[in-house]
Amino acid sequence: MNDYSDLIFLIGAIAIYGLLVTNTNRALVLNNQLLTNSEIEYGAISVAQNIIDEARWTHYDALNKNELENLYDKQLYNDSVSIETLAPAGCPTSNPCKKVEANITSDYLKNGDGSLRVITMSLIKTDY
Amino acid sequence: MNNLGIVISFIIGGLLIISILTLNARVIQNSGETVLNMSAKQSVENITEIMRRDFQRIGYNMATGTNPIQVFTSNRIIFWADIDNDKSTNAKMITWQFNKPGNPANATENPNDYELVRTVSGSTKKITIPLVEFELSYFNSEGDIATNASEIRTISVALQSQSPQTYSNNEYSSSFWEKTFSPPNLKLQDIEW
Repeated sequence: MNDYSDLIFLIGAIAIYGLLVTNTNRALVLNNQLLTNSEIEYGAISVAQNIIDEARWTHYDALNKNELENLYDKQLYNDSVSIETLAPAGCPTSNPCKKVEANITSDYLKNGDGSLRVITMSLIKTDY
Repeated sequence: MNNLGIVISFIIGGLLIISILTLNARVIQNSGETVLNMSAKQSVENITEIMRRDFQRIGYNMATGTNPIQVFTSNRIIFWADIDNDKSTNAKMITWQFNKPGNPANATENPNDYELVRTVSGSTKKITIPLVEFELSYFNSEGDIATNASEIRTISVALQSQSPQTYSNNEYSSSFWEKTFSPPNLKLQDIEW
């Protein structure tokens, strides 16, 4: 009887220890994911800023979605640009304006549910 | 029979101790890696803050007709800029130079890093933040590589920082950053008023 109880204690201890190890490993993996995500996120913000900087200094009539999208190679980041002409009520002045939006994604930058995380940066450009 | 039980107990206990020690080592290593990675990122953040300030002001408040960029190579740039918006004096000459493979950053234990030196009007203020790589590229208004200083419209900077200390067996935590600057005073040269 004593032998069996020792065995049961041992199995219980191994199970508890296994839970501890699993949880610790999960925390370590999450930690590494966080580090990688923040590194990729830094880069994505930088790419978005570059696109917005380029749009800022492009003439209002010459704003071109394809040109802005093709500024950088697509090795790590996928960039998509949208240019939308806003209604006069949405513009900061009485002049016409456009909203330029840069959306950056990366296969390595994901939300907690596994969907791709999008870094968005926008600029309202007014025609003078 | 009793001896067999003791031997088995020792084996199981030994395995358990090895497992606990391994887990402990991994936790400590991961913790160190996280801290050192934050340190590397902070280094990048510090250096990019100064760089943003300098590079966006290239050509600001200087005499017209003068080329703001004096020297442009992959590891050195010299330009004129009024970085503190002090209009009573002229623009200052700013130099950014990466001394690789010349001057390793002796202040750190990391053998891979080198000094990035920023100079303002001759008074050298060394930035001792360790950098492993630092590369400058220059582009004209068409986005092609610029061949002379007057053509330069955008400047691309790529840099890599590593933690000053190793977290395990000569492994260093790295952080990489890349940015293309479009200094307004260079871009303004293309605008027809």
